[in-house]
Amino acid sequence: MVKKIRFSWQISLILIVGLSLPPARHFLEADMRMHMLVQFPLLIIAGVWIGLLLPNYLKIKLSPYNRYGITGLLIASSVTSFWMIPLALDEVLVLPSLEIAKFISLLVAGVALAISWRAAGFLIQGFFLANVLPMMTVVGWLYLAAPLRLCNAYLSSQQESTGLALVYLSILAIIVWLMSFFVQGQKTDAVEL
Amino acid sequence: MAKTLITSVLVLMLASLVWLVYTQGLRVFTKEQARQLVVKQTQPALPQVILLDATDSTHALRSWTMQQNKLVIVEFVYTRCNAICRSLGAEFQQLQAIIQKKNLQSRVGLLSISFDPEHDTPKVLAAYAARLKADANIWHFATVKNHNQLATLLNFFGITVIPDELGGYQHNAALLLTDSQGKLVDVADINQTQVILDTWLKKYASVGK
Repeated sequence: MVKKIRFSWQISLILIVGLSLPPARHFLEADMRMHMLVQFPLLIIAGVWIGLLLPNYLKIKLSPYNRYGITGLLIASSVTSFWMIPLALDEVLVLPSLEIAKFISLLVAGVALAISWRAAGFLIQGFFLANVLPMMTVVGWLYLAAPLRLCNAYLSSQQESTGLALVYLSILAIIVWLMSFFVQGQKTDAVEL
Repeated sequence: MAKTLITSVLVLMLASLVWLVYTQGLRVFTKEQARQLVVKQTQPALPQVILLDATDSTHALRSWTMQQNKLVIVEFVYTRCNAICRSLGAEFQQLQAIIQKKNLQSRVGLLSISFDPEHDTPKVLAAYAARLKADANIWHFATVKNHNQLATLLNFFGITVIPDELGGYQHNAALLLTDSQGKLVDVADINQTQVILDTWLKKYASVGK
């Protein structure tokens, strides 16, 4: 077990270090779609990974502050909403301090998601998704429909396809989540801690 | 549950604070808006970048706008452009028409600066000016003389130029207002030309009179 955990930690660590290397950053951030739709999710996944591997005593220590995963899901939605601001997307390319903040906050959002999701149960998960997903749809639609470029550093074609992808992804996520509810039935309704 | 409640409220407050501070009170969501606000607040002095105009003579930017002793509205273009600069060109043509009609030649001038000095030589600029039927008393065309000063110039005006898929460029378009003191005093989005000209003339009523 110990061996397995160590191995998994290493994968997560490799992912984070890999993403933070300048060539990987420049490659992913040169294109708006890669930046928002590949780099962001990978960082969140790396965070989720860490969250799942968090030792139990830590989870127990945190749980009084995170009943039903409420705090964790709030953190996750706050962080993701911030990184949808066009200004942030532009400035992160030229401000190293903001770039560091982006990496840390997205990782934290991932950790928060991982330790909060199951505890949240259907209702609070639904509340979280009902906040984040429509926001994604709206931002996507804004990117798609804006007559001017919202990010100075990205081409308008990239802005449009990012917008379209955000709209599709958010709708897809809503469908998947609803389907998972029907597949699992009432089981998910039981709150686990 | 109380601990969760308190922590959640703290998280929400922190998140709102970050949002409010970062967007300067929900006023600034794009880099363009941020730039506009900074310019209005700081009114920075223009850099003395050496420009080459369509008649092949050179000018230092700040001195040039000060010599003209009027408001100069600056735009950035490249002559091969057929997207946003076209609409910018049309905006400037409209502005020129208004200036001619209302006899504002002594109060407002126009300056189109190309960020593609490689291609846009004075000759090319002159042809471009002719194509747009530019009035030489109102509307000047120029580019940087030394290519290595281009970055300084673009950086100062907050213009980001990125190559597109078709061998051209994409860039943010704005009307940049300089006054007779050689300062950049305001930035406006295109497509509100008439309104903004009136506003500027009122606000800087003493310039060029």
